[in-house]
Formats: sequence, C-alpha cells, structure tokens
Amino acid sequence: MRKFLALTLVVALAAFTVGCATQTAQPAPANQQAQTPPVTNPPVSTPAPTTPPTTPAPAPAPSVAAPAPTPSTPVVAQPAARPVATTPVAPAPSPAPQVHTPPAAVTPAPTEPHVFRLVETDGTELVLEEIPRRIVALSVNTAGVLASMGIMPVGMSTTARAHHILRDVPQVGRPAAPDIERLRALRPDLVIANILFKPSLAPVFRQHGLTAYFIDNQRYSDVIANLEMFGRAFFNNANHAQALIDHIRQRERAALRAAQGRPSPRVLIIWGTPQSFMLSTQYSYVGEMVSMLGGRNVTEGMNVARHTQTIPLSMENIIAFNPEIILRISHGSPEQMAQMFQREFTQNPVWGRLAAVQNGRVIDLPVDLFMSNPGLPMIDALEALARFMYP
Amino acid sequence: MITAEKLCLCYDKKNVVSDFDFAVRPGEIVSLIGPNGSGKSTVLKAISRLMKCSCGVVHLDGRDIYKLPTREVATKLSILSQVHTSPPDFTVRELVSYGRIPHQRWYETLNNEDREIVEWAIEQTRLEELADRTVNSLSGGERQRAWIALALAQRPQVLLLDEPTTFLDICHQIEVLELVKELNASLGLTVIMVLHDMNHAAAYSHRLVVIKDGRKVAEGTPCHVLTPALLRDVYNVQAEIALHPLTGKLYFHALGLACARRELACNQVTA
Amino acid sequence: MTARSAVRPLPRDLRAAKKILVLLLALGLLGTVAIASLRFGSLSFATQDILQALLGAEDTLAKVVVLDVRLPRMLLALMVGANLALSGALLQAVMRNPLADPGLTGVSTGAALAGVTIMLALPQFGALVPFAAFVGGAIACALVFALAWKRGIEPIRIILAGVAVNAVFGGGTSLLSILYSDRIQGILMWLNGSIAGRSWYHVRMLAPYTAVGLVVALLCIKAANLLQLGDDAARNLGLNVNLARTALSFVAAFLAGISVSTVGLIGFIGLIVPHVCRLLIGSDYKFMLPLSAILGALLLIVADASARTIFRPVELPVGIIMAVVGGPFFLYLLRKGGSYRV
Repeated sequence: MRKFLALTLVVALAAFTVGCATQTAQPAPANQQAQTPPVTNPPVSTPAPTTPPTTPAPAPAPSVAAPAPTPSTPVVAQPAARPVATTPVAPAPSPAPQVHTPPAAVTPAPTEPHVFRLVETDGTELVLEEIPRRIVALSVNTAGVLASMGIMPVGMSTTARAHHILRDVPQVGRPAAPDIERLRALRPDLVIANILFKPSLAPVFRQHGLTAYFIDNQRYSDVIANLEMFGRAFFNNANHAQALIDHIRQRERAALRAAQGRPSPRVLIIWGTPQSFMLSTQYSYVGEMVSMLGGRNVTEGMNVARHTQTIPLSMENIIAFNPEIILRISHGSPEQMAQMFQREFTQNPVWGRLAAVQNGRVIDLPVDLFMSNPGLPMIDALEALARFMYP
Repeated sequence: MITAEKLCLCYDKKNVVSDFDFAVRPGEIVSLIGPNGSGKSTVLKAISRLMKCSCGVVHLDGRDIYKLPTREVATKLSILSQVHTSPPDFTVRELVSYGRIPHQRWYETLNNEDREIVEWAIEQTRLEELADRTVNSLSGGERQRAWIALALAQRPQVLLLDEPTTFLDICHQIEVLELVKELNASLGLTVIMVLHDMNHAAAYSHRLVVIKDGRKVAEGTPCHVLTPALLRDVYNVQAEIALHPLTGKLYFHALGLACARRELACNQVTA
Repeated sequence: MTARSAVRPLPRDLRAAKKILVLLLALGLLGTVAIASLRFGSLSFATQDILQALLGAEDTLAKVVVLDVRLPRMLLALMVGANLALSGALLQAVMRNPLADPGLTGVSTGAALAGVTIMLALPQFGALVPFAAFVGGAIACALVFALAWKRGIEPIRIILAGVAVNAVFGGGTSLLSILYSDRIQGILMWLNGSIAGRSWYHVRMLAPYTAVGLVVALLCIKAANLLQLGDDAARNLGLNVNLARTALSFVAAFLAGISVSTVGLIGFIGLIVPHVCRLLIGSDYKFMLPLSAILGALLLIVADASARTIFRPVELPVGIIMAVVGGPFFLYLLRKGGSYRV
C-alpha cells in the first residue's frame, strides 16, 4: 500500500513539474520569422558602403512626410492588407527611412580598438579578427537589417515575400533547418541564425566548420539592441546603423507622443484562430509595443515568466479584466479572419459583454506587420498601433 | 435430420474438404474421427454455419441451412467450440442464461420461462451448487459442463461438440461423455462430435465417420468401421481391436507404427 | 474432485441489486460533482455569489462567468466524457482487447488532420472545422475498416490497419505543423483537447448528436455482451459477428468523431473509464455501459474544472489533466483488484 502511494505521488509530482514547465517555458514560434515578414519599408542604402560619402544626403525626413525621392524605394505606404477594423483607420503613408551619411569622414577615429564582437543573449561571445564579408542571414528580419546598413548578405533563409532589394540573394532553406550544402556552397564567413534553434543548429554548424551567431530578434527592443550591436561590430557601417536607430527613435517618439496624456486602456491581444487561440503577453512582440504605448495587457499583474510570449488564458479572467481594446492577430486574409472572429464573437455571448466589443474597438491587425517581428518595418507597426489605440 | 451433400470447403485457397456426403438421423450420436488436419473440425464448422462452404449444401430438416435466418438456426442447433472465453466475472448462471438469447427479440430480457429453462439446464448438468460461482473459478470439467449447460439452454435439437474432451483429464472426459450420453438418452438430443480418442468414440457413439485428407473414408457402426486395416491406412498404426470382456464395447490397443519409415512409405500404402 | 474455495457466492438477486446501487450512487455523484464544479475556475467567487448567480436575476460578474462560461463547459465536459467513454467501451467489445481506445479506429488522427489542415492552411474556412474534423475522422475510420476487411472483421487486422492509418494521417499533421510552424502556436489548444473558450453554441451543436449516439449505444448492449463470449459462441447464439463488429465500431467512431470535432483531441478517457467500470461493476454491458457513460462524464468534468483552476489564470489543455487524474486511480484499482469478487 505504501509503495502504491509513493508511486502515485511520484506520478503526480512529475505531472506538476511538466505543468510548471509548460506554463513558464512557452516557446514563441509566433515571432519566428519563418515565412512571413516582407521587408515592406526598406531603408534606402547604398549597396557598397564605404568610407567617404560623396553625395550630400538630403535632410532626414520628418516622421509623417512625403515619400523619399530615392529611386529604389518602393514606397509602400502600408502593407497591402489593410486592417479591417471596426473603427475607421486613416491610412497614413509612412516614408522609407532615410539614410543620412554624415558629412564627416566615416572612417572612425577610434578611441578603442575596433573589434568585431557579437554577444548572444545567453552570454556567448563571438569575436572575430576581421569583419566578416560573406554573411548568410537565416532570418529575413536580420537580412533586412543588414541590407539597410549597407551590408548585403550573400544568402538568406527562404521566404515568399522578400523585399526586392534582397530578391537576388540566394535562399538556403528554412530558418530552423537550412540546406547545409547550399549554405556551405556560399562559403560564408558568418552565419546568423535565430537563437530559438541554437540547440539544434549549433552542433551542425560546428561540425561543418561554420562560424555562427545566434540572434534574438523577436521583440521590438531586440531589433534596436541588435542594430546597436551590429553598428559597433560592423564598424565601417556604424553610421548607417546609427542613422537607422536615430530614425526609428524619432518616429517612435512621435508615436509615443500620441499616447501622452491619454488614459491607459486595457488591451487584450488574441493570437490564433477563433477555434483555438492564445493570448499574447506583455513580453511578446505586439505586447511590448502595446506596453510602450501605455496600454495595459490583461496578463500584467499575473505571474507570467519573462520569456513567456503567449499563454492560454482563462476566459473568466478576460471577463473580469473587461478589456477596452481587443487586438486580433491571425494568419490568413484579414477580411476572412475578421468575419470568422465576428462569428465567434456573436455565437459566444461572453464576448458581447466586453467593453471592447460593445464600443466596437476590436481590431484585426495586419499579418505582415504584426504576426512576427518584421525587422525595421516594425516602426510602421508601432505607428499603426498608436493610431489604433488612440484614434 | 441433418444432411450434407457434396460439401467442399476451402481455406486460404486450399481445398480442405472435398466431396463430403453426410447424413445424421434424429437421436443419433455420431462421431467424426480422423488424423490431425483431416478436416473434421472444418466439417463441423460448416455444418454449424461457423464457416461458409465453397460448394455443396447442408440441409437441416430438409431446408438449406444457409437460407434459414440465423436466429432460427440458433434455436435448433448448438455448437460447442474447442476453446471458450468468457469474461472473468461471469457466473455460471449468467453464462447459461445467454443460451436463451436466440429465443428472445432484441429488446427482450429474461422472462420466467427463460429462467426456468436456465435452471433446468443447470440441473441437467448437475451444476446447481456451482451456479453462482464465476466460470473461471471452475475446474476444466466443470467449465465444460457449464458451456454444455449454455448449449442446453438453447434447447437445440442438434448438439455439435468440437473435441469436447481434448483438454480434460480422464475423469473429466468420462464425466462429459457420460453427460452427453445421458442427454441423448433422456432428451433425444442428436449429437455430432469430433473426438480424438477412438476408444471414447467407439464407446459413446452410435455411428462413426472417418475422415482423412478431407474425404470420407469410412462410415458405419464402430464395429464395422474400426478394423486393423483402417487403422493402418488412416492412422498409420498397428493395432489390436477387440471387444472388452467387461463392457462388451469395442476397444483398440495400439501396437506401434505401421511402417518403419515415415510419411512417404506410409502414404503409398493407403488403399 | 477439486478443492472449492470457502467463499460463499452471493445469490443472484443480491448481485443485481448491488450493481444497480452502484449505478445510482454514480449518478448521484455525477450530479453533485457537476454542480460543485461550477464553483471552480480562474476567478474565485463565494458560494453565495454562485447561488445568487444561478437563481437571481442580477447581472453580476459571477452570473456571467457561471452561466456563460462554466455552465456550458460543464455540460460539454459531461457530454464529451460520456461519448468518449462509451466509444471506448464499445471498441473494447469489438476488439476483445482491453487496450482498445477510440484512437485505434483512426478517428482522432483523421479529425486532427482535417482540423489542422483548415486551421493552418485554409484559415478562411475556419467555421467548418467541426464539420471537417468529423468528416476527416469518418474517412479515416472507413479507411481502417476497408483495409481490415478480409472476409470479415478481425480485431488484429483492425489494430494493424489502425496503426497504419494513424501513422499516415499523423505524418500529415506533423508535416503541416512543420510547414506552418509559425502558426502552430495558435492551434495547440485544439490539438491537445481543450474545452476552453467553448460556449453554449457548442453545447447546442453537440447535444442532439450526443443524444442520438447515447440511445444507439444502449441498443448495442446485447451485441457487445455476446461478442465477449468469443466469435464462435456468439455466432452460435445467433449473432452476425461481422455485422455486429462493424456496427459497433461505427457507433464508437461516431461518438468519438462528434466529440473530437467539438473540443479537439482528448485521449485516455476511452481507454481508462471502461476498465475502471469493469472493475467496479463487472463485465456485463447491461450495467457497464451506463456506468461508463456516467464515469466518463464525471471524470471529464473534474478534469476540466482542474484544468481551469490549478494553474490559474493559465488554462491547461484538459487532455493533460486527464492523464494525471486517471492514471494513478486506475493503477490503484488494478492493485486492489476491484470490489467485484463475489
């Protein structure tokens, strides 16, 4: 009998441990750039970035202004799929960020020796003697960032919607499992992969003698932090990086200004399909932007671990929280998604009790900007979000 | 009462039984005997519709057995297979009560008449004291009797037994065979059984049918059928056959193999 | 001749009465637990608030939560639990194998593949998920039986065909998960079986099919009992064994299919509950089948209440809770041997 109770206890303990583990460690493939992000608002860059700027660049564009006159910009105002919101959303054209190379000589006058150093979030450092020239970016987000800095990657992960600047870049397969043969054929000096896949890819790269760096770029703040790190590492392009950062910060400030003085709304972020969905926490890509804009996520104040990006949350808590704004992110055409969600919202009377539904502040977010971090275009996402939240 | 004409049975495209003619009169006890793999059990299965025959026809009371509704056949004919399984917690009485199912409509349950018949079947097989015990807790012979009680509860006119004594010790074997003989005498139950032990077959049957390689080799009363020549041809066994001084029944005693070298030479000896 | 054990068996009527008592007790327990489960959830309410919510007319938070969130979930758990348990019990009769589970017929993987295909690749047809899941399950089940049929249905062939079909369909689901790995997060709840987010709409959808399924299942009692005696004995007693096997399997597949299409994949109930019932009340399907339905409902209600309470405010998929609740209890019963010895 005692052996039995012991066995039962062991099984129950094991189950609880599993339960805790699944609760805290939610991987976030939601923000994997597996297939999605198009580089819709490509920064303009001179493809061979080097030291002396010969052309005086135009003044940096103000936040909401006419599109840049540079030829290679496609000037995509908003991503093709407009949000079908229940509140009318004024489409705002957002310009391509300008690259402005400062007139001063770019060859840095270093106060410290320039070292190519990249640091991963788990502390692993990658230090190389020379700046790598042939870079493969297994992350469309990163490929876009590098290209904007003036560093054209020699290879990138397969994506259906590459921006046209990257369209000639050879594609080498999925971010989670690239085609090693094609990868090696490109003879890269550096491979940049997503840190989510480090456990499986690190040994593979080691085996094949490839230098690898694992980047964490799921969140808004990650993109900027990475840009800064790339700026320091690729020191010949430091100014490009700085320019990009300044531009983003400027637009960010403008967007945040919209939130100033407004009461902070309660926001619910739904991720998935109407049949099966989860909620994005304040630590997710969209969640972080909502928090930046002053929104209060339903998951705040609950014991959610820092790296948890989506959790299955109880409907009861949603009712008690009574969100004022509901943001819906679902893959698929937004009109159809909106329709389906509407149906679910009408079938289940519970939704109708929420302030957000009653006031019509339910918004379907465009997939390309909000499904996962698209890299530099995230600033467009922030601006769009600011408009949704504070019309 | 039961006739089989030109029966042939295939199993996995192999002809197991061919050209088999067979007739049983009411009230008879007929035993099918023959070497292993000769097709005895197959014939029994065909007669009881457990197996479909490839050609030929089986008549029960003059009607084609395959054209009769299953339930009707189940009320007239009952077969007891070699191996029985039952859930571990069925009592004897519960098991026997299943025998009444063919007589009920699908929505009916046991009525008083059914209960009486169940008790009667238990009585006939002398299981009154064991009626509330689980079937699996009984000994081999008792279990066999319980299944015979189940067959009895069906109130069949014909009882088919597929090697009913194979897994039992001698005491239980006699027990079962005596029961069969008694049921035949008191109820007029027609019995067709497949037996391995020829002495038993001789002692307890009115007629014997000998099958070898799917064909009927001999048929008749034990005295006529069991001859040393037949035993040598069919079983490859040298035997002595005599009438027992005490019982007056036929019995045989095996003296050894008929031919020294095995299969090939023996098969050539077949008449 | 043989040594008889000293246990005196109970007379027949007392045994039947005992079984009926067990059934009634189980029913009573079900009612109590069902009502009590309304108390548990992510938010805490005082019992008074709950009673007021049920009886009063005031539109409080408690009322919304209890009537629109917990009550439909409880009813859904009741129906799905009963369906899956019955499905398992019927399949165990067909297979004559205590390890039979509705998953063997391919229903779960077929439904999963259909549902996942829509949710990942064709999300614009999302409203069709329940229907598609049911059809997918039915197709998989039909495929299993078509492969298994060879002059009749034998349990071993059903199992082998089921393994093959499950492998293929499961592979399809895995493939989709990889191709759409960025979207998989959203459908995890469905894949693991979850009653979260279900509402009165789903209750209304499932109720008529459940009612039909339950009635038909009860009609199968006799056939199920006969199958337990073995093929030969069953044929001898007038049962068309092939027809019975096929019919029972389809009833089981139907019950599992409607459940999966509504709440996703919840395993384990069909496997464990009939066993537990057998240990409690014996193998006679006349008593075991109703008890399976009752216990299945009971188990899933408890599991769902736990799923929404244990790690609140996070909701666990109920299938995970099932394993923890059901497993040790089953082990305990096996060890004890069940009270059904007389």
